[in-house]
Amino acid sequence: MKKIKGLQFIFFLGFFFLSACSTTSSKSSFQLRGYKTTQLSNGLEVIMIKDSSLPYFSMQLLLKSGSSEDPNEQRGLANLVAELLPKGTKHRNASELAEALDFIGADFSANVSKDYTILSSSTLSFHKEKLIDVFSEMVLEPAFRSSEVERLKAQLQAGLKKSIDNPSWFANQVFSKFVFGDSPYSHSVLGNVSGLSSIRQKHINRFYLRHYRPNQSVLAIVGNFEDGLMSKIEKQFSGWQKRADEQSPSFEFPAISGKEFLLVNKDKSTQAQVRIGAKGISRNHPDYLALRMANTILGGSFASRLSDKIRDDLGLTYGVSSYFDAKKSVGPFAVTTYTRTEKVKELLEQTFKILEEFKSEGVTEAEIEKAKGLMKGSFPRAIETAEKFAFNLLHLRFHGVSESYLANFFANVDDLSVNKVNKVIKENFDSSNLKIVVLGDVDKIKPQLKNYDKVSVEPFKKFQ
Amino acid sequence: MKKYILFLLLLFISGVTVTAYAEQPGSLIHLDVEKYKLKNGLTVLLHVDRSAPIVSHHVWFRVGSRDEEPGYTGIAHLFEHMMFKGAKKYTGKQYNLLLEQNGASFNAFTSYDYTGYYVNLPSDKLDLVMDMESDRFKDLIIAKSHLDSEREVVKEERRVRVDNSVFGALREALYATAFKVHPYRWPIIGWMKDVNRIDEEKSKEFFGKFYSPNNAVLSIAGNFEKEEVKKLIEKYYGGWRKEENLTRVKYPQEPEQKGYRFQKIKRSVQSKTFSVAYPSTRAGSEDAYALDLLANILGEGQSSRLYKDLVYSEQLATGVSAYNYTPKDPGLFQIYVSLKPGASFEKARKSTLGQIFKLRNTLVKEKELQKAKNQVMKSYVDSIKTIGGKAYLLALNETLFSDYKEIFKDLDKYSQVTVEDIRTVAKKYLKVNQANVVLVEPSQR
Repeated sequence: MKKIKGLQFIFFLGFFFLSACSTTSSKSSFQLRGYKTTQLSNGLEVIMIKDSSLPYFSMQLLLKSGSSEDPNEQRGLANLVAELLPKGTKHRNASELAEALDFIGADFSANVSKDYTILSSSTLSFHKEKLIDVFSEMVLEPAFRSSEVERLKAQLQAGLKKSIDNPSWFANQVFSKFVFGDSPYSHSVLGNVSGLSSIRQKHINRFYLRHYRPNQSVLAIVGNFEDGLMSKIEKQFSGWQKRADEQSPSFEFPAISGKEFLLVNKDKSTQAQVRIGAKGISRNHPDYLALRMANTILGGSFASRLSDKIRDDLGLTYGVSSYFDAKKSVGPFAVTTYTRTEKVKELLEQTFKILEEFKSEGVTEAEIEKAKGLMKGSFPRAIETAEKFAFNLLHLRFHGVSESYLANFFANVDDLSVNKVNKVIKENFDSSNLKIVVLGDVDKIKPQLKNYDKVSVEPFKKFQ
Repeated sequence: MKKYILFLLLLFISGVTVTAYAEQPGSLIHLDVEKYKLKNGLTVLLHVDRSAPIVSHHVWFRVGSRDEEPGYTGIAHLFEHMMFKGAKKYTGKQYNLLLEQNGASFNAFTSYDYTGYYVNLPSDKLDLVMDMESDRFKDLIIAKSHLDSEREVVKEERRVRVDNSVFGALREALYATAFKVHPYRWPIIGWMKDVNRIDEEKSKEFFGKFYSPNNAVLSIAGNFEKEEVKKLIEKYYGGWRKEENLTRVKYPQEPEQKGYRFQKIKRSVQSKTFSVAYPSTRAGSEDAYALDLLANILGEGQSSRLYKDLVYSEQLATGVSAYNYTPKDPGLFQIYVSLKPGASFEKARKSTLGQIFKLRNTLVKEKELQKAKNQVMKSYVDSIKTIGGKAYLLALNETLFSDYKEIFKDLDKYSQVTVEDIRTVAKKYLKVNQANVVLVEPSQR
């Protein structure tokens, strides 16, 4: 092993919480990193963050469209288009691009989410000009050769057909479909087997032309570089043509009535994956921060109510956590966990009880103090590297949230009171109307749910 | 080209004379570190980094699953969990609560050779954190009720990571196939029946045997005042009693493998996944560097040989990877191939072995080797972007080699590897009669 990579074969005490982004130490001030922004004449906004502590250079390009822009019949299109970028340009084929990137030790990733897409790449700083060349070529001049399209489609379809082998990922996809119903958020970012089959060249070209536009994008460049690099960026990206903005409207979160269960069979599984969802919020909700604090207490940390009871006291799971999946449109509040097959009933009952108490009794002053400490204390780590900071800026820009969210994070966290948090819990938290997905050995799980009347069972193939 | 790279890199390293180090890429990764030992034998590493108001506090012990006895596999890892269930001054619940209240994040990990505990915290909380950490290292309480509930947590962990994970199951079977004598043959998380058997007595015995300051490394990186922190270290760790007769396990040596081994396991899965692995060498040995680069050439990135062959051209696989795992004792050079549903294992296995054959018999291109070196250098830079990453890297090297400076030599060693070296290690290690092939295939419905 390379001595830097020791983590492959080790076992952790705990899973990591996706602490969505947290904050700082006890003193109420935190100096954010400096950065500059500029806009090219074609509308491309560029954020520059200099960091000369190490010889690296990275680029992150945010495109304001994600899988929710997939046409109904071509699910998976946004992801396919993004993943095709490194598969060939007008000047280089897939192998030549891979060679060019790998040679400078650069990675390239296309992360498509339901709302937006981030293309990112990084290298050592003495290769930065080369990286800018390759990166801009991939984004501005993709070839979408049919041989590559077919190859990648087959590749993605093969991945979907075996995705049940990764139960946690699969349960997330089933959950998304169950809570979002027919909305554009419901399907997996990867699409489905039939959606991918129906994608033709024209769909790819149309999607690219519509959504890959400078005036719908933000580029962050980070690392060790001089001001003069901006002229290189300008040169490479100024030929990118702008086009009128086409923003899709937001949509409603489907209503839930009572406890609705969806069971999906996974043969011979000794463990069941469990997801519980209620109506949540969108990212631009005025009480986002207060609800984040509420969730920190409920299920967003090791010492949270859910983890303390379900894992620590009862030993029912190795991991339980909750979060508000706050997107451009309303997403769910969700609990993610798993347990051995025979304990599904107990796990659910215990979790429901915690959710109900949380709703009816709210949180305590002591819990608020603890949550403030955790949120502020972890903030500097969430933006410790210039790349993480850049990602946070991009994310906030997409949601139209001012970066004062970061600058004033401490003060805003400090300002939250127990009354305020309890008020937002009352207004926004629902413990009665829930959608629950259980993925596991249905024959052994169904009898455990005989006290509930809304239980449906679906074959896993329906979710490929 | 290479020298140009080195020169530029050196400009970023403070306190290093450029001319003196121009020929030594090892100096690229230079951190100012103070190292000393307490009277009780605890090794201390301090690295000041003022880039953020954060400190990363690591304590690592030279104990892992290789120190276990058959019948009690998994005790090192279960024990690591018990370290969070309460000590003399702070109960387990207080530990979690207090750390979080003070803005710290924490975790621990167990490997074959070592166990590490870390806390990342705001700079001004170091006093409290050392009080809490030293409490459990000195005066852990092992209660039956806690052991029983934590055992269930660990069993759940085993179900999620091994029993219901294709790669977890594959890796477990691979190690059991490739190692017949050495303790690496059993999984770090332990066999389920052994996890069920571990009791308080065994846990206490384990604690007494291995959790001693003279078997540990304390690595602290971040924004702190060195002199103040040294006083805190003395205050909290100075009174930690040294175990005079530290247990040194004699690890049985794995005999040379004398034939091709094949193992097949069935799981409720949709497609086949397999691994090809060869006995490798130990961390820090001369051959390890060439083998690491060889693994990159084979399986790192989309221009790697196996990716181009199995994923891109033949379209048999959805993913490939290659990794030279060299722990404290000789490890394994591993290749993993994840097949498309319905794709032929025989064909993929043949292609994989064909690539190995080529590496044994023809030289790789200079450019290919340089690419691998560039990838390694990039991953080094990535690994020290955070304060936590620095504390981790120092602790790891000190724990493995009793000398954190080993990390600074690595890039030198990588840069010296030649295309001939790559062929030499391929011939020496990737032998046909020393291959271990393990296949996970779908069970009949």
